[in-house]
Amino acid sequence: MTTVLDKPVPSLAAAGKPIDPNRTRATPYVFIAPAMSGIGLFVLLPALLSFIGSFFAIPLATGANWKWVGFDNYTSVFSDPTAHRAIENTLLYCVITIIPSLVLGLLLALLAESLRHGRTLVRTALFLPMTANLVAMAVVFKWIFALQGGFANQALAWIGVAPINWLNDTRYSLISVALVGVWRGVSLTMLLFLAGLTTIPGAIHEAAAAEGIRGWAKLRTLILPMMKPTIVFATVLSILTSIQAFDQINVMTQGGPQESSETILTFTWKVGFSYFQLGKPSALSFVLIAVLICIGLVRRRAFSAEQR
Amino acid sequence: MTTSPIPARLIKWLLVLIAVGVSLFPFYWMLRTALAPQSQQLADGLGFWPAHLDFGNFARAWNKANRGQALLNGLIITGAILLLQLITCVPAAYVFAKIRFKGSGILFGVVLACLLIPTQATMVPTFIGINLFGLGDTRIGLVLPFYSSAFGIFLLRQQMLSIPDALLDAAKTDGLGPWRTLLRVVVPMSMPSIAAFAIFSVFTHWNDYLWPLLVARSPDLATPPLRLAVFQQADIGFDYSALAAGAAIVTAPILILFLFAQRRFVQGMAGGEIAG
Amino acid sequence: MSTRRSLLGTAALAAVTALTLAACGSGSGSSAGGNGPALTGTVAKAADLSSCKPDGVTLKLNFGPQAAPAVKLAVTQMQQRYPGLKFDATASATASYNDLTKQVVSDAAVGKPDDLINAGLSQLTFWVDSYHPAEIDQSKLPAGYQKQFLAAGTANGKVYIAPFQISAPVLLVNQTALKSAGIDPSTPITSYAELIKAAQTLTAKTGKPSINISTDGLPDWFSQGFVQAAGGTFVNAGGSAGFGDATGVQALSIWSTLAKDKVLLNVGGTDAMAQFMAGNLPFMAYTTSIVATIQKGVGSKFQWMPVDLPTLNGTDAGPLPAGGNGWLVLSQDPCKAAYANAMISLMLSKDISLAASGTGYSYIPVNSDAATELLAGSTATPQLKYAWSYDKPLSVWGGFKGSATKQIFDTLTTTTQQLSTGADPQTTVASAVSQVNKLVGK
Repeated sequence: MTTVLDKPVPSLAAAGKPIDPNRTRATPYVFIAPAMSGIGLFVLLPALLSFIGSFFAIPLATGANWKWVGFDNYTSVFSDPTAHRAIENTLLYCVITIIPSLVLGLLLALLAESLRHGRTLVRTALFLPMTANLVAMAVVFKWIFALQGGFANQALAWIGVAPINWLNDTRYSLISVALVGVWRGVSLTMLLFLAGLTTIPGAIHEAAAAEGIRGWAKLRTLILPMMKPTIVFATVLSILTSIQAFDQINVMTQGGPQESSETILTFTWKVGFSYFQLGKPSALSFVLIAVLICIGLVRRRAFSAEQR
Repeated sequence: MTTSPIPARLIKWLLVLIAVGVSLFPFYWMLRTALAPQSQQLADGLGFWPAHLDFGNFARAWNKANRGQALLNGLIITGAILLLQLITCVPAAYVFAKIRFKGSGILFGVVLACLLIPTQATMVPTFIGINLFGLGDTRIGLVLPFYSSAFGIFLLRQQMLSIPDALLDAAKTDGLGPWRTLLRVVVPMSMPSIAAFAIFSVFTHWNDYLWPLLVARSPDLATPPLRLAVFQQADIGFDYSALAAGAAIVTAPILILFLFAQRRFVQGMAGGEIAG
Repeated sequence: MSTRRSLLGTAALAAVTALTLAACGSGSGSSAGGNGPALTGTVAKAADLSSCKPDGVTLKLNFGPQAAPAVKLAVTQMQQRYPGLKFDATASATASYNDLTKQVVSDAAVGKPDDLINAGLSQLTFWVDSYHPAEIDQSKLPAGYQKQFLAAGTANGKVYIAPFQISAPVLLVNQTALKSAGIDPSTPITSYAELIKAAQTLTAKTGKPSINISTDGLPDWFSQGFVQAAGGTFVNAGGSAGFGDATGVQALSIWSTLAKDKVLLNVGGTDAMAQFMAGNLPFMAYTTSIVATIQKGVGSKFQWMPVDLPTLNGTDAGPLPAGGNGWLVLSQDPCKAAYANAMISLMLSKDISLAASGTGYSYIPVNSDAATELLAGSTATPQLKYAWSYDKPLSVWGGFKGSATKQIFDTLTTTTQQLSTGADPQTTVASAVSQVNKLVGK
């Protein structure tokens, strides 16, 4: 970094203004073209095609003809109890993974930040779940959650609790896969919060100490407001991760038993690549997006009302 | 900060220990299962420690599942994606952060919107499209859909916003063109976020399961997570120990990478915020 | 602020474009008839082998690990017979017939279609309905092939698959555990009542569930087995669900009865097998093909035997469905189809049958010469003898409308899982019947 600063910095005459684009009018477009083409081709276009495809019956085969079916796919989604379950489970999964991930992530970040000894070691240990291969870890969690001989039930036995059929009981299967989601999610949110905490200037802490603001009051009045951008970012990332949960579900429960852990992505996968119907999953995706937009709008309204 | 009273510190450390324990336990369990003899399996009431160490499980995991080939595939695919993403995203992020041009608002809006489109909505058409161009079951088909990244543009732009404009003006006064400004001023100053994004990209694509599961049909194209399935079959006598050893082999490279790069990663992620 | 406005603008633009395109699409798309899982192209009529040259021809095979040893041997022999012929033959990681079907369809979708596939017998109607394969030429079957198995590869009165590996549902019994609970293992357990009583005695002794009938691997197979063995009909002649009558409900109630008695171990098949091999689970319903694996896993830890699957009233009122698989030619190239046919004949011969149904996977040998040799051999333990010499009548597995194969499988998975939690058999089975009938359009 210092190498570029070797030359004296000229006057600040032009400071605050973006670089004059006149000289190279085409340059910005050349710079963004590769990236935008990738996004356009592999995110925007597929999403668009998916939306269009939701009005067709599409066989999986290459070059096969699409057949216009109007709103049939949507009707089929709305009348399919499994699709309902998938939507419910996805939303439930989001709630039981996102909230704990954010709360625990923040707590652990504050805790790790406040340590005076062994901070690096603790941080590293807490970051590791994020690096793990979720398929590999799901296999391990499957053993941990085994009904007989699994570690989770052995641990429960020590405290005198009857064994739980984590993976094959409809009441627990979603919780089990969500626990894995939280295990990993906390690690990511904690990292984001730690990174966010480091951006708070030391002067703020000093000022707070001088004013005698500590503990909960300091967190609520100082830290949290300053971390708002980080919190928003962590929330968005958590939501994205949770809606797209697939790996551990596919390995641990395959959506079962009795569809109790079927989510939109596992259901999409099943309908598309086991039932070989590609129109219906597209419709389902857009029902999900519509639900998300609704939640987003409600949240936004609640948020702005609060600010006013 | 004033010294906390002893019980508070004790509670704090207790909480830390529990958190670290929960975080590390699955890794330990994986290693334990990988090193335990095959006879000490799920049903036999396992102890916390392996009965004795058996490294033969690793040999089986490596040989039976052709793990070397899978790791190589993982390396090639992850590396290619990373390289392409850096080439495409760094200039784009720079432009979105520092140059105002016609349509920049709308185009960045597109990037943000793409950030929020879930895989479900894009997976099927991308798969059909890749096949239409004959790229199914090829390395190109595994890499191509990820050559750009909305998340990358977004993350890198956030940090580039903080580069002083004066510096860029200075570069211009010195006669540096936009390309050289990018390479000589912007890139060095954005190193923390570039590193963070690079690590994030490597994590994501090394561990990716869904897309290779669809596209990589031939066994010699299989990526490390796909290879894990080999030991999951009941019919071949479910070799739990080899499965765990395989899991450890898949996990290790990323874990080691992370241990080396974690400081940069944390610094870089600090830029990742959505203003407002 | 401006970002948010432009975001809305973009979304609106996207929506308009989508609607426009969708409108255009309707015009061009409606004429197309592409519906269901059909693959492109049709199976080629096999050419005369004498007109084909093996040089530069590569046969692409799709099969699970259960067929791997036999394929390896067959490839070597084919290459000796047709020098220059090449093979793309790596066993896939999954042994599940649903997953193998999924793979073959996906292979075709990515433009790498398979020439010769190992199809599960449960998938027969799927392939026949969607791909129109050729009937097999029974005159090409090798010496010793047991033609009674052809029934399991027959759909609409035509034989499409000559079964390659055949298995039947069985009950695995830990005799040592029975003895220590005071049950004489030599007393046959043939009816539900006897099975339930024994399971209750065992659970009372150990405090642990004592039987597993897996609901995640082969729920359709066991369901069909229970219903048919009770004298019921699983698939009606017209293709609708036939298991909704009193016999069907009683036959399928085995899961809920065991669950209500708290003797059913409700875990996946893999976990159950581990428990059985460790001696923690005295009864397990599984397949004869797994007997060899169990034998390896159990070793000399305890005495055990595979026995006939208990039936509703203790009598065999109907055949069990045949498990297993067979080869199907999907090649679009006449010469490749001809080589594939030659390979099928080879794989049904004595040598390869020995590799397909030996001590690795204890399928019932489809070649009688192989069966004779195996039974006379030194590896023939009582357990393996039971598996290799299973000779009760076997029916077709499944048989519903092909395009709904996986949906019906999933419906039955859910049904058996509901029963496994003690759900009322009457309403659960009725609901399954109506769901299946909806799927097959009856």
